[in-house]
Order: sequence, then structure tokens, then C-alpha cells
Amino acid sequence: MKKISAWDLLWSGLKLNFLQASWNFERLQNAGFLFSIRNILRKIYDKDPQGFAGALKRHIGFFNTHIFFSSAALGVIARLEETVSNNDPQAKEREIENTKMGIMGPLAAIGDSLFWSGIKPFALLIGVVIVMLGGTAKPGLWIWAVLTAFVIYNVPKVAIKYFLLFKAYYQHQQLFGLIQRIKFQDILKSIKITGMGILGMFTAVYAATDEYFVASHFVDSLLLAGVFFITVSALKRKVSVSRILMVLMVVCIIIAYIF
Amino acid sequence: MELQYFLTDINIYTVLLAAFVGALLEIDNYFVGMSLISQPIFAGALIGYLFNGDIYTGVLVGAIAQLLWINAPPVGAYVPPSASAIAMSAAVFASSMGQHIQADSKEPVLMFALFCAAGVGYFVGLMDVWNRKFNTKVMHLFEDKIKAGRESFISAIQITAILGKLIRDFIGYAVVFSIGVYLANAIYVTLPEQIIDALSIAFWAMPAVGIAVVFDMFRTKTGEGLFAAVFAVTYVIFSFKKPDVFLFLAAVLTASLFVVYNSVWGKKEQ
Repeated sequence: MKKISAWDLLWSGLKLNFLQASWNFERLQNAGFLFSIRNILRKIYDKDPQGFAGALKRHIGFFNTHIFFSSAALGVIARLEETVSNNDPQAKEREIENTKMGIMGPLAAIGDSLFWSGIKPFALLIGVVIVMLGGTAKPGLWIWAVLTAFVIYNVPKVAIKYFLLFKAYYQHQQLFGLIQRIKFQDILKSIKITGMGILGMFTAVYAATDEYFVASHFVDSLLLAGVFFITVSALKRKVSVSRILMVLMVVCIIIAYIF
Repeated sequence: MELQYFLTDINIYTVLLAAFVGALLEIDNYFVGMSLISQPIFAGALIGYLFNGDIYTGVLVGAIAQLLWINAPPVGAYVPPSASAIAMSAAVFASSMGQHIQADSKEPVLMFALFCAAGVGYFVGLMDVWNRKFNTKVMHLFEDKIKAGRESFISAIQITAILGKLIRDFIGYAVVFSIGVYLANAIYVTLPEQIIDALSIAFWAMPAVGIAVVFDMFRTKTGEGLFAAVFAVTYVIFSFKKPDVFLFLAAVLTASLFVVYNSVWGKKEQ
């Protein structure tokens, strides 16, 4: 008989917002994960204090995955905690630990590339483009820019998180097949190409007009193109943004003293 | 202006409010929620408004900081500089200097504020490392009790970690928004003319550097081609005629999606 309700899962999913609250260098998100799954464990081991203590001990170990994809791990682990028999605690421990260790890495890889290299910078780029093309002196436009970026980032975040949570718990056998079927790399590539199109337009408007920002002449545009290509080349060589800014400042000081 | 006069000149309640809101936003950055409200484009403007009622400066430095530090993902144990701290501090520095300093133009003030704020951003990143070490100690402190089945100590770990971060950031921001602002003002007025000019030139180049950062992050073979094509078409059109920029943006978005369909998804179906 199922002990965990949809509400329990939803509550755990909400608590996953605190997954990184006590992030530490030794076991990373362990306390956050335990905090999220605690209500589910309490229900499963309702009349078994020893089993409950064992489960707490099990989940205070290492845990690290992508924050929004962690819901899939939580759903699968909740299901295993509920369904794997308590007759052999060591076998149960082994099965849960192996599943947890096996699922964290792939989820982190997908989440990190999709969100940190795709959706988040894309949402922020749209926000910046709206603000800078529309004019930074218009607070109303700033609200629209922030709202747009917020929606572009948070809608897929919430949808993916809760979809994976429920899918992982109710149909955990199909979860891995589903993750393999979703073309995350193609989605990421699509986001990057669309971002480049918008960036191309933003750059051209910035270079061609004197209304929207500071570049006003063809020579200025050429100089800025030089700055752009040197920066891209430096970033390709893994030079950090702060180092680029330092070098730029030194060059500007030299120019200011010479001219 | 001497420090004691400067400190009596600023409203301590405003500093504390801005520091508290800054610390709350900083928590959203990596620790709780990660909803985007801590990002420079929002946080810079909000803190600028709270500190001086100056939303314009906050939006401007927030947008630039956003472009420059858009590629700072919190992956694994890597702790990047806090882009939110950079934007919030830059907004406060710039709006305060705009009030206290009789500058000919705002560009060098904005660039100087961004430069000083970058230091604050790296310091906040360092504070996050301290917080994470502190969290390890807290975890060890309560670990045995949790293993014994006393689940309330899980919440104790979470609450202690959040409060530790919140208090540390609040104190840090209160210092930056008071003494830091004084130092930024005091240092700026001693700068020679050539450095002011250099700051102006550097600020002028900032959007180009920011665009390069985003370009590097999004670069793919098809994307580079699309960037060049859209740039060329837009540059020519905007050099002669200035259409509605948002209608044009919608057109570019549609064209980009068309390219995406043909180069990524359509290709697979064939």
C-alpha cells in the first residue's frame, strides 16, 4: 500500500528550493537533500524508529546534482525507500545508495549544461537587450525586461522540476528512457543559436545608432569591433573577465596619457 | 569630506535597509531558490532605488554587470564572484558619487563604481567559501544527533547555514554601503585627469566586452553564421532608417527560430 501522497511529494519538491542552503565542501548538498526528503521518510518509517534512524544516516552521506534536476533523484529514492523490503537492511542500503550515486552524475551534467549554459544566460540576455535597446531611463521597460527574463527562466525550471519529481516517483521505470529520449543537446543548441541571432541584432543596433547607447561613428564602431574580437579571442584562451577588465583599464590609462 | 561627516550625512536606516535587502537577494543567488531575482539586472536597480531613489543608474550598471558576468555558473565546488554583489555595490557607489561629486560626465563615475564593485564581488565570493567551510562544521556538530534519529537537527543545520550567510552578508553590505561608499568618493576626487579620461574610454568599451562574453558563451558554428548575417542586415537597416526596435527584435527572433528549425530539428527529421 502506498504511504506517500502527491501532496507529500509536492511538499518535498518545494523544500528542494533549500537544497543548497547548507552546501558544504565535504558532502555538498547532503543536508539539503535530507531536509527535502525528511517528511517522506517519516511517513514510510512511521512505526519503525530504527528504520527511520537508518534512513537518516543513509541520506546524510554525499549528495550532489543539479538543483532543478534533483527532483528526479528525490522521486526515485522516495519510491525505493517505500518499495524495497526492510527484511535485509544492508541490501536495501546498497540498492538505494547505488541508485543515488548512479543517478546524480547524469542529472547534474544535463542540468548544468541546459540551465547554466543555456536557459539562464538566454533569459538574462533577453532582459538586458530589452533594457538597453528600449532605453535604460525607462523604469517601466525595466519591469518588463525583468518579468520577461523571469518567465523565460522560471517556467521551464518549475515545469522540469515537478514533471521529473512525479514521473520519477510514479513511473520510475520509464524515467531513464524518457531522459534519454529528450534531446537536451539539441534544445541547448537551439537556445544558443537563437541567442546568437538576438545578440547579432543587439550588437548592430548598438554599433549603428547613437540613440540607443554610446557608439556614434563608423570609426568608433571599428574600434569597438577590435575590442570585441580581442575579448572573444582572450575568452577562447580561458582568460577571466576580471583579467580582461584589468588589461582594458591599463590600455585605457596608457591611451589617456599619450593622447 | 572627512569620514565622520560623511557618515553623519548618509541615512543609516537607508544603508541598513539596502544591506538587508542585498543580503536577502544574495541568498537567492546560489543558496535558496535561485529564481533570478538576485541577478544584476534586477538587484542593481532595486538597491539603487532603495539607496538613493536612483533606479536609472542601477539599471545601467546592472545591465552592464549582467553582460560581463553572465557566464559564472555555480557548478560543483566552484565559487564564482558574485555578479549580484557587483551590480548592487556599483549601483550604490555610482548613485552616491553622482550626488557628492561634481563630475563633467557620468561615464567615468560609472566605470569607477563598476571597478570598485568588482572587488566587492570577488570578496563576497570569498565569503561564500568561508560560509561553505562553516556549513561543514555545523554539519559535523549535528551529525551524530541526526544519525540517532533526531530529525529536528536537520532543520537546525539549514537554519544555521542560512542565518550565518544572511548575517555575514548583511554586515558586509552595511560596511560596503557606508564606509565603502565613503572610500569610493574619497578616492575618486583624488584621481588625476588622465585616469578620469581612461575610465571614460573603458566605460565606452564595456558593452563591446559584455557582448563578447555572451558571444563566447553561445558560440556554435551555425550561431556564428547567424550572428554575422543578422548583424550585417541590422547594421545596414539601422544606419539608414530606424524601425521600431521591438518589432525588429520580434522579426529577428522569428528568423532565428526558423534557422533553429532548419539546422537542428528539421535536419533530424529528414
